[in-house]
Amino acid sequence: MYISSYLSLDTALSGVEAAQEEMDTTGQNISNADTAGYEEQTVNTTESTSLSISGSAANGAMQLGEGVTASGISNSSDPYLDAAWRQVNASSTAATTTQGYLTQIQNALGSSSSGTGINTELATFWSAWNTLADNPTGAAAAAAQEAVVSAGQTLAQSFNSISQEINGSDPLNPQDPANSPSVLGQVNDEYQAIMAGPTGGAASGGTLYNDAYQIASLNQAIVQAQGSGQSANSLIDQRNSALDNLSSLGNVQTQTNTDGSVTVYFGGVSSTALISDPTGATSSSTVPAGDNFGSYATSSAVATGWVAAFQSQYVTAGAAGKTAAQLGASVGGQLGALIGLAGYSYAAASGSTAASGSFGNIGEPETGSSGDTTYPDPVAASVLGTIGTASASLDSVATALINEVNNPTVDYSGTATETATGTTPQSNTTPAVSGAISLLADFFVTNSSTTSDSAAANISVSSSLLAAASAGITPGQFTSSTTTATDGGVSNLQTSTLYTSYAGNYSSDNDVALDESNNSGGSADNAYAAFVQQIGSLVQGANATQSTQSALATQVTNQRQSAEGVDLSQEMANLITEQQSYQASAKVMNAFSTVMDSLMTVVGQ
Amino acid sequence: MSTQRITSQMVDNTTVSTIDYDLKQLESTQAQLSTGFKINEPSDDPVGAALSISLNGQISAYTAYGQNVSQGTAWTDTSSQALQSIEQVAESARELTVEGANGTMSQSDLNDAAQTVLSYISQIKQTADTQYDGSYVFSGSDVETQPYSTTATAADAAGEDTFSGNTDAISYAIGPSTQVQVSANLYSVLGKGTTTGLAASTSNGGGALQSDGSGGMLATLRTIYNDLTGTNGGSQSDLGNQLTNLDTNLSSLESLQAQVGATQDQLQLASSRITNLTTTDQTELGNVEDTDMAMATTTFSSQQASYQAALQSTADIIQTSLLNFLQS
Repeated sequence: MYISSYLSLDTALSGVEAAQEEMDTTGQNISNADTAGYEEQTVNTTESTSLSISGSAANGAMQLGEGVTASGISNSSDPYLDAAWRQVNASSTAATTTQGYLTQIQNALGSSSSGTGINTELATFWSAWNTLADNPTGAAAAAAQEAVVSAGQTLAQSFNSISQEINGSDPLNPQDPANSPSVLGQVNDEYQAIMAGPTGGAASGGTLYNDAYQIASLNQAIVQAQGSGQSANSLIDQRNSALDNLSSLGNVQTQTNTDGSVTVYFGGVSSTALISDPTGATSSSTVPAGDNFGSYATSSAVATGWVAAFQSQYVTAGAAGKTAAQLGASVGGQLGALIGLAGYSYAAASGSTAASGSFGNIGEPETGSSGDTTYPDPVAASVLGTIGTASASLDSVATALINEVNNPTVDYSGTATETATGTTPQSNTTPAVSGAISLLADFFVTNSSTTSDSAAANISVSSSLLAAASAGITPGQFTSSTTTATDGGVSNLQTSTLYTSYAGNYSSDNDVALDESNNSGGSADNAYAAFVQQIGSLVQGANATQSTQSALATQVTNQRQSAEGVDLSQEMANLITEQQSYQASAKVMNAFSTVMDSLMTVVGQ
Repeated sequence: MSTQRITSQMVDNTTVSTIDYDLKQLESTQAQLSTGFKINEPSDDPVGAALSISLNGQISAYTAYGQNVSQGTAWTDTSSQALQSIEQVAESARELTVEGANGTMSQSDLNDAAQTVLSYISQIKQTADTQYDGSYVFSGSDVETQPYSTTATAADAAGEDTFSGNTDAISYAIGPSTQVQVSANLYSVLGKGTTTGLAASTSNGGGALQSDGSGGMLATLRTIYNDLTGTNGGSQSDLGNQLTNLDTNLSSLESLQAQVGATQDQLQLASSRITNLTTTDQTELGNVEDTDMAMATTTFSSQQASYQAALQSTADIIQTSLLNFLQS
């Protein structure tokens, strides 16, 4: 059996080539050390099939090594850590989103320490009543009454502006751009930005639509590449990165298919995959095969695809009595946080072409033309989110204030006197009278057509008092002139001809003002303190959740990095090994060359 | 490979989150130090924030009560001094009446005494018109109106002693649901007077104020004037009766003074009570919302040290990798 003289040259060459490939890969790893989604690659090397020399053991039978083969490049993927990371990422994004908006609500309250905020204005308001009580008549009283009205109006406007900062001017119509600066408006805008369908070009829609489009396109490319026997490592890295992005928006569940594609379930919807296996899926000219994002309802068509399934999830959640926070947790990520904040509706919107639930106060993106009035009609969220609950608490503070101020509990007792022109004393010229004092008109009103409207958004000092304050209030203007008092069968002294004027404590504002100033530290103050505590606890909880989640995220990120990322020190060590291995193989070639040289020299002579 | 691999992104992540955390802590302590409050947002301590709102509300209510007390004290001090001078004048009038009733004075002396009584009436009415801060203190709730006019008016051509105020009380709040009446009802002592006397006779209540205003001190003094001068049906023999009436008037004046004095005491007590309560609340408020400066400063220093250590070590670690030690 003869052996090729060049066998050892080929063996050395395979070593040089393998070392070359390894160095290439190490270079690739080092270049992509900071690339998002990149997973460390390694060259799979195997010993080449050896040359077998047959014969008996005594007769020189043996196997001669033929070097090394680089059989492929694999990446250090760990699907379990990927899934764990995406879950933590969804939770930590949700926590950050919630924390951001709740902090905005808290900031809207003003700071108690810097002397701004409703509590300070309540104190000013009660103190204005106290001043009025000290100055029941005359010019001082008129000034004090004007001070009461103006402090009351400042207080009412603070309620209005906090309500405006939280809910916007048109909370029932989230599409109204006037809402944008408010917390609820921003939440709606963010929801729209994520959930919007394609506008214009095929791949330009909301964040979710774009992510789904990208992942479905990569799925297709991977299936094609692997089908034709090519490596799809870089495509898989890109898809991993896109899935990572998707996990910020909501909970992601993936399932790897045999053709290399992944099926993606998103946002707690288990009935319809957001992205399915492109193999066998129908494709269209606008979306890649397997992209099931679907479309929103219009006046002429019902919602389809994942969108329809997501909307009907609102309905099933409503039927199951889920709170906004519970539904938000199952949706996860940014979307889940937004649902937890804005709440959801589970009743079909009137005029809707399909029974579907919706986000907040119908914040579903509209795909109909701008003149489409049939869908959606604004309805109030049927399940309140955190923002709705906070608004309701603020409303209850405003309601407590209205009740307290509009209904003074003052009984009077005094004496009526005969008419000023009366000359002949009546049988009883100064009968004792008593009764309850009511205000001339409600001090605070809610300028609203429906009682269901927010009290905080609509509270105001009554327009008659505001007009009176600008014209100059006359003493006694707060108290009712229709007080009914009875004495000896004479009812309603005011209309009695015998007693056109009557004197008693009720004739001045002193008693009413005293009663109003006694509301200091009363139900409105307590309700406000409770409201601040509620918001403070919400933000405190959100802060704690956020820092826990972000610590967890750092930890899982590190685990994932440890398994999948590029360790530069290791790459450096590898590089030395590879370099030496290259040099060694080259040395073998050098040795072979020398040997051949000497052989040729001998033979040639 | 069983060793835990440490990648540069891991170092980045950990470093950034540690530095962020340190900086956040530092910022929070810095906010406590610069504002002087440990609760800068309700979320810093929700319960404390609510408590601080309640306490601040109470303190501002106490401030209002404190103002009421000082204003009420000035009001009652004014009333008390006025009542005292009215009493002095009435005592002088009583001495004159006693002398007149003795029957030792001649008619011209009696007429002189009568003129003195008229000037006493005028002095009493002037004192009854005493003002505090522009308000007539004895005019009931109608503080803008002069209670006893000392000049003749169309309705009161004879310069008689009509009362133009009312008898309503003015009350100030000096505590939650605690009110004190600062106005004194001087009308109940002085009543009304006319040139015809309007005095209540001994049979008609004897110096007690009647609903038409007779029986008061002014009516008694007017009758004494008539008795001294012998006009309008008065006679010297009636002076004894009027002396009894004047004593009754004086005793009701004294009880009014006692009433004002009691109010002054009440205000005095309220003042120290309000001061104590305010101090208590402010101490409590300080415990709830004020930064403990010593502690915050110490915390700040240690946080600063750990922040600087994190920055320093990051700068050192990030620069170092195996690359630095590989020589070509």
